[in-house]
Amino acid sequence: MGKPTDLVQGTLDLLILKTLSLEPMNGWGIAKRITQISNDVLQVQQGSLYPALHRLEHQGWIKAEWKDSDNNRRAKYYSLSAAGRKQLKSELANWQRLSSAIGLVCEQQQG
Amino acid sequence: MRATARVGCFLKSLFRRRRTEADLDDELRYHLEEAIAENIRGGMPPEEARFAAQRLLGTVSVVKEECRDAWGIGFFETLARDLRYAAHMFIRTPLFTVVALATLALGIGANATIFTVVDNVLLHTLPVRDSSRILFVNWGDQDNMSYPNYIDFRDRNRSFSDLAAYRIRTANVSLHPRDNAYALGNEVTGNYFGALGVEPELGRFFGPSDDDQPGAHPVIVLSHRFWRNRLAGDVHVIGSTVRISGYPFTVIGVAPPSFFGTEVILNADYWVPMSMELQVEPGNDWIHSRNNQNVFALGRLKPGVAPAQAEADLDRIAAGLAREYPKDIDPRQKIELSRPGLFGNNLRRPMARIVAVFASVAGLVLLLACVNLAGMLLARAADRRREVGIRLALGASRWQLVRQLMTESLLLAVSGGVLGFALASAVCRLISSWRPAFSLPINTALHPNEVVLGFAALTVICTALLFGLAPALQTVRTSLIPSLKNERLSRWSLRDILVAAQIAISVVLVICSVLVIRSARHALSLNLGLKPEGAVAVSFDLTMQGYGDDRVQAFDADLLAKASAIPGIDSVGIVNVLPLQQWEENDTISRADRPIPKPYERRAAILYDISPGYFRAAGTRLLAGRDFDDRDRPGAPRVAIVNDACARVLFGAENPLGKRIRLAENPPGADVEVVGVVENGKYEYLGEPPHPVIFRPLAPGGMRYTTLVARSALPAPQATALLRKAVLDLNPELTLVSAGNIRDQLALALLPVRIVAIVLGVFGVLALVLAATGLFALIAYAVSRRTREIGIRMALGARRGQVLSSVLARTILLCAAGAATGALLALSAGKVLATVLYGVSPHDPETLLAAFLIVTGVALLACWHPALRAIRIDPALTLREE
Repeated sequence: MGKPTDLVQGTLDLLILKTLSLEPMNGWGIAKRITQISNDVLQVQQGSLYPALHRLEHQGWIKAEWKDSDNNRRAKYYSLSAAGRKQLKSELANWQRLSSAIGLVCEQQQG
Repeated sequence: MRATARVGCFLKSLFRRRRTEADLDDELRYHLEEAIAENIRGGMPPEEARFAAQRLLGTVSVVKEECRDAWGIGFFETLARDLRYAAHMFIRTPLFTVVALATLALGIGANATIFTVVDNVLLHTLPVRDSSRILFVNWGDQDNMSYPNYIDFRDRNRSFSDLAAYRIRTANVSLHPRDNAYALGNEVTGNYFGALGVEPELGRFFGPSDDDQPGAHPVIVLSHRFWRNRLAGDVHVIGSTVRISGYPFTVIGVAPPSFFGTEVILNADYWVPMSMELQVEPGNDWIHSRNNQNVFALGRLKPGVAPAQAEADLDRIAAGLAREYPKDIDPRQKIELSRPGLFGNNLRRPMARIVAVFASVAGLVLLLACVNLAGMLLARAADRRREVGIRLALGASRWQLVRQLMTESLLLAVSGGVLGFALASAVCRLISSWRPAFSLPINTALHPNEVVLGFAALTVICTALLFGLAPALQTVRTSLIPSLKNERLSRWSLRDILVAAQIAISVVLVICSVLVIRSARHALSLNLGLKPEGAVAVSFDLTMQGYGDDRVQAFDADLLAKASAIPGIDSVGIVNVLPLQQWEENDTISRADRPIPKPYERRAAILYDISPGYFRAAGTRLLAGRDFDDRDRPGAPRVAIVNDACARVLFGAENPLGKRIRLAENPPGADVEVVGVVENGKYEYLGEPPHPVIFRPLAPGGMRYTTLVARSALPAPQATALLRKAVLDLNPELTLVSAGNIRDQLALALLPVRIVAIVLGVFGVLALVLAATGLFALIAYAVSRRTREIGIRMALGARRGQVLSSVLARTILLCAAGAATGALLALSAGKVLATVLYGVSPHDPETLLAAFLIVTGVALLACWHPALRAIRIDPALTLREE
């Protein structure tokens, strides 16, 4: 098995939290949504998606409940908890700071 | 969220594990099915759609594993699973499991037992307030001092808040006229209880005002055990009367259950004030003599005073005393303070030495057990290479495999540890229930407590690491090397080191055992100066039972006449105490025809009082002169018989007969004339150098302890019964202190030798068994790893002899190297071992050779079966395999 993640370490959590901030979703839906929104740029390694979901659930940032899906099958739906919302906010702020810093450095190189 | 929710999540997942597992299955299945459905919608054929979806998700079991890890129950889950798996492995190989568990149980059990002795005896703390401040006073190599010296130390020292003295004595304790028995008492100074800081269970303890003048305060404190056993725990006991040596004492208190005086091994039954000494020991007025080293001293340090300061303080007093009493005190003796409990350093030092030897040997046995198990695990690993390979291929990480293998080792070690602790507890119970054949009330109680349990647990963990880690790492490392490759002979492998270590350790242990067993045989056949075979003895104490001097004389004469007339008894005699009973009377001796030397330059001799006929009855050879006879009655010229050592020390090559000896500082005319010389014997302990001894005729005065010795061809029980009857016919109320054959009565002297011989003998046999099983496993393993290679060699025309030498040559080389290392180790440890040996040198070449032969013999035996297996390998079968 190769390296499990093509994403920057720690960004998978951010993507999951962000995705779930819109609406509750199941694992399959989350994977699809990330791929769609990023115009197929970000391919979520599905093997690492579920451990990440379970970790976030264990940390109390997301909640899970079993609901019927669109095609009338039972699926596990995840939603953001209050703590998760706070976490998302701080991770977003972190990310923006990081990406703008990287952007600044890169622009300077070009200029 | 945080802590509580996390614990809730953890518990939920633990208790609802099935449910959670099923949920995880459902979740992943839903994902897969959605993915497959989408792939089909995208135009893939169903088969391909399934593969693509699975490829994207990865190995389901690995994903599940990582999810479980995320639940936070990974550790316990994996532990439980590893344990289940380990238990399964052990059940599948019962022989290995039984051998391994027995090995560990014996190794850990031996160590836990010895640690119990260390904890309970050597590290024993008195059950008193702030016990670390209580210190025992050793003076030179003496553990005791005279009462006047003690008083000077007590009054002049500036470092003890209380310095107390005690004396240990057995005496006849009578509750009612017909209820007598011997009990072990402490005669203690008035400040004793105050210094120790114990509180009575009932009534009160006595204090300094109860110990102010001789004979004035007949009060007694009973031990809790004595009160419960002899007085049925009577709560109205305070104020009642108990007779000691016939003298009435009033019971004023009962000690708490935990307090038995300050000695660990000799527990006190009662305490009386030291000023009552003459009533307890009639006729033995030692309290005024500066030469009678009769009391032990211990005290409580003042706050802020360090032991070294106290030692300096007491040394200053000792130097002053040596100036004041130059005749009595050796100025070279230095004070040393030690923990109380084992007669100061007197018993503590030798005991610590013996325990150190035991502990090292037990440690070696455990090390051998570890090496042995490591070997067996390594051999097992050979059988498990395929399993390990499969698990690695299935995606198990090396860390997971090492963890699994270590869990197996830990399970083995913990089970072995539990068995070992049970074994140690059983051995301790056995030792606790042991009652010696001699009269001293020795306390051998051993209790494996929580400290011992902690020690055992620590041992278990170290043991598991020691025997488990190397084979586990080796297994995981070698498992992917194709099994086609056989080990190259030139490389030193873990197995080689294990073989050599095993042999080295067992050589050390076997050398110890052989030395100790030879030493025990030597000790048991030492010339004791008497012949225990065919000799029986009964002993009693007449003065303790209220006999005066004249009655004692008459009693002795009647008894001798009566006993010598018994048919079947060949000869009888009386001695005050038999040798090797630890109650010897000592005095200084010098030639009467020369000036008196300084006291500490005088030779000491042991004194015995005997009747005519004692030497014949005891089997002591008369070398020159005559035995005592009717001429030597009281009032006749004073005569003595000396042993050979005494004759040589005083008179050298001169003929000792007719020479005169001065005892202590007796005035001229009171010295004794030598009329006979007898062979040397052993008097204080077995390992002693020849010691001067003087035998005197029985005479009135002083303490009168009586031992009637008889030689008879009758069986010992029958002869003993006849003697007992002869004594009781003269006085039916007499309490016998001991009765039986002399060999039993010497048991105390032979006890250390016996214990050492038994313990080290058992360890030696254990070492041989361990070495044999370990070698067998290792060599069998080697052969099984080389089966293919041997098959090819044989197919290419190798003869059986060549195969045999290729299998054995290396092992024999390793054995020889190990044995040589072991012998060197044993030689360098000889000094330690010498402390427990009698008459055998720790460098004894015969022993080294014997041990070498025994171990190599056992090693060859262990090689035999695997070697046979090697030459019976069928090349055709081997090559067709795999």
